[in-house]
Amino acid sequence: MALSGEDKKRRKFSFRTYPSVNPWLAFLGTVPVLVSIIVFGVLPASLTIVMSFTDYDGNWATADFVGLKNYFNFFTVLKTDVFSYLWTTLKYALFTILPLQILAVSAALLVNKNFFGRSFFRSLFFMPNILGSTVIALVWKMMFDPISGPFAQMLASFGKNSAFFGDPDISLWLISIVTLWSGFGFHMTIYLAGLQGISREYYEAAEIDGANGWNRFVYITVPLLRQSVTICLWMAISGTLGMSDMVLLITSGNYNTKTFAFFLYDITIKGSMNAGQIATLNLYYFVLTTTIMLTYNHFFRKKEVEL
Amino acid sequence: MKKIVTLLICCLTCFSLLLTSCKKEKNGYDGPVTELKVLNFRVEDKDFYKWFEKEFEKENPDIDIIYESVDTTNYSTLLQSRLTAGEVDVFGSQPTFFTSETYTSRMEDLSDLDIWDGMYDFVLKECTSGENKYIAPTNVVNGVVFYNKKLFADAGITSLPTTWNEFVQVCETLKTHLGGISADKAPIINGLLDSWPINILVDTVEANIVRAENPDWFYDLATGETDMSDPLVTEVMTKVKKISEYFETGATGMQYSLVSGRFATGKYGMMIDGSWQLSQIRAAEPDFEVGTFILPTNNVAAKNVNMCYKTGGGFSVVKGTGNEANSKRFIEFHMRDDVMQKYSDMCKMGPVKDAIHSTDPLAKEFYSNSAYTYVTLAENSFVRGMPGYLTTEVVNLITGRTSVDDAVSNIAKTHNNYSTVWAAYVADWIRLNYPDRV
Repeated sequence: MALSGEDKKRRKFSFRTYPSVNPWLAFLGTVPVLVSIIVFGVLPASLTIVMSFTDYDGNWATADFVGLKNYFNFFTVLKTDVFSYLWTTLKYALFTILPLQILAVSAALLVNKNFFGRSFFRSLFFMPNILGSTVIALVWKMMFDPISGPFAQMLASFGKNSAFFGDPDISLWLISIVTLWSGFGFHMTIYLAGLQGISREYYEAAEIDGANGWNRFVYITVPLLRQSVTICLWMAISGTLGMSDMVLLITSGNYNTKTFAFFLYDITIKGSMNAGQIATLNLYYFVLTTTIMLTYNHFFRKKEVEL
Repeated sequence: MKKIVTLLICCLTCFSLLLTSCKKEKNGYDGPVTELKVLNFRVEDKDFYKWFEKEFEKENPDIDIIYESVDTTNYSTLLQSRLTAGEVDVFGSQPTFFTSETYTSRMEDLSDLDIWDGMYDFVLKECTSGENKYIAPTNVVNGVVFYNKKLFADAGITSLPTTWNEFVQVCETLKTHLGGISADKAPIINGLLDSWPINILVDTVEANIVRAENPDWFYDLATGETDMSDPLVTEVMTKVKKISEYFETGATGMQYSLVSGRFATGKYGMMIDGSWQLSQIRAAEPDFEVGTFILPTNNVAAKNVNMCYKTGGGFSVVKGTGNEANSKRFIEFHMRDDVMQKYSDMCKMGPVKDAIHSTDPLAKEFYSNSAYTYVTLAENSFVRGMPGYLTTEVVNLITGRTSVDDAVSNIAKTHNNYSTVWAAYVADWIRLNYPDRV
C-alpha cells in the first residue's frame, strides 16, 4: 500500500512543525537510551569481533593476535560437532514453531468465545508464563520420572516403559512439549488481541452469504490474523534458535538435545575453548540467525503489504 | 475501615524499621562486621556448615558468613555469574577447575597458609597448579560399589565377587532372584539424567583394567606413547556396556539426586557410585544394611585391588575482592584438625590427612583399607578436562546409539583433536606427577 505524496508530507516529522519542542532537549532525552545501547549493545558486539581475532582468555595482557585462525578452526577441529548441534537446533525449531502456533491459535479461538469460565481458562493457559524455567523443568522432570512419574505409571499399565528425557530418540520431542506447554499462553494472548480486533461485521456478512464455520475461519480469521502471526512467528523463531535454558535444566545437553545455543553456553561455562574461539562461533551463529530472521522479515513484510 | 488499614500499614512499617535497626551483636562484640560470601556445591553438607557458621562466628565475631550451596548441575553457572559480579569471596572448588582459565585467573594463592602439614601427597599435588596451591582440600572421595546386604543374602549370594566373571554371575543371580529387571527393581541402580555420574562408573571400571596392567598409562597417553584407541580402553568400554545391561529400566531418565534414596528402599542390588553417597544412603534409611566392595573388573583376582580416589572438593579464595584476609581466616579455621574431624564425622567424606579418621565403619572400609592400592581417579588427570566428550560417547554407548568400537574410535579422534588445546594443562600434570621424567 503506497503512501500518497501528501500522506508522506503529513507523516514526516520536523521540529518546524512543533516549534515548542527544543531540538537539543529532545536529543538530550534520547541520551540515556543511546548510552545504554552503546554500552550494552554496540560495545560488547564490537569487543566480540575484536576477540575473535585473538586468543584472549580473560587477560588482555597475554592475548595475541591470531588473525583468521579461529575462523578456520570452525572448518577443521569443530565442524562435525557444530553441524550436529545446528541440526539439533533445526529439529527442535521444526518440532516447536508450528505446533506452538496451532496450539496458541486454537486456545485463542476457544477463549474468544463467550462461555462460563472463560476468564478461568484464559488465566490457566497463561499461567505457565509466570513460572520460572527452573520450576517448569523441575515439574516436568517429576512428570517424566521413569519410576514414579504419572506418564511412567500410565505406560506401565500397558506393560511399557521409557526413560523419557533419558531416551535419545524422544528427548528432544519431550523438551519441545515442555516449551509448547510453557509458551503457548503468551502467544495465545497475542492471537486473542488479534481476534478481538476483527470486526463482527465480516462474520455476519459471511454468514448471510452462507459461509460455514471453517470457511469463515479460513477466509476471514486467518488473513486478518496475519499481523499477529508475523509477530508470533518472529518470536518463536528467535526463541527456538536461542533456546538453551530448558536443555540445561532438563538434560544438560545429553541424549541428543544439545542445541547450538546450549553448545555456546556450555563451552563458555566449561572454559573448554578460549574466549577468542567462542567469540568466533558466536559470530558465525549470529550471521546465520540474522540471515534467517532477515529472510523471514522480508517474506512476511511483503505478504503484509500485499494484504 | 480505611483508617484501620492505614493504621495497620503504619504499625507494620514502624515495626519493620525497628527490626532492621536492631544490630546483630555477637559475643559482646559490637564493632564493624564484614560479610564473607561463601558458595559451595556440596548441598549434602548443609548441617555441617550450619554448625561451622555458628562456631566460626563465635571465634570471629567480626565476620558474618553468608553461606550458600547449590547442586552440581547448576554450580558452574552460578559461580561464573557470582565471580563476574564480585559477589563471592570463597568458593567450593575441585582440581578439575585448573583446566579452566576462568577459575584459575581468579584464584588466590594459598601456599603461605599454615594448613598443609601432614596432608597426603596426592592431595597436595591435586591442589597445586604451576608453583602455587589454590585449593584448600576438605575431602577425598572414592569410586565404590555399595551393595544391599539383605538382597544379596536373600538371593543366596554368600561371598562377594572377586573377579569380573564372578561379578557378572552375581548380577545374573540378582536378576533371576528379582524376576527380571524393571524400573523399580534391578541388580544395579543408576541415575544418569544428569549424565556426569556415568564418569564414576568409567573411572571405577578403568582402575582395575588400565592401571592394573600399566600404572603409568596416563603418562604414556600424555607423552603420546599410547592413545585412546588402546585395546585397554576398548576393554573398559565393553565392560561399562555390560554393566549397564543390569541397570534399572529407564536409568538414563532418572535424576541422580533420587538414586541414593531409591537404593535404600531395598529393591536394588548394587549402586556403583561415589563414596559421597554414603551420607545420603544413611540419611534416607538409617536401618538399611549396606556393604561395600571393590569393583572387580579384572579376571585376575589379585589385580582387583585398585581403589580409585580423588580430592573431592575444597575451597578457593577469590583474588582481588579486598576480603582475602577474612577469606583466609575461613580457610584456616576449616582446615583445623578438630573442624576437619567434625566434617568427616558429619559428612562421611574421606580424610585428607592422617590426623583425621573416618568413624563410620563402612567409610573406613573404602577410605583406609590396607588391602587396596589407591590410584588417582582418571577424572583428575587431563583426560576428563576436555569438553565432556568421554561422557557423551559413553552415554551413546549405553543407550545403544553407538557400538563399542565406534565409541572408542570417536573418543580417540576427539581426544587427538583437543590435545593441542590442553597442551599446557597436560604439561603441568606431567611436571607435578612425574617430576623425575620432565
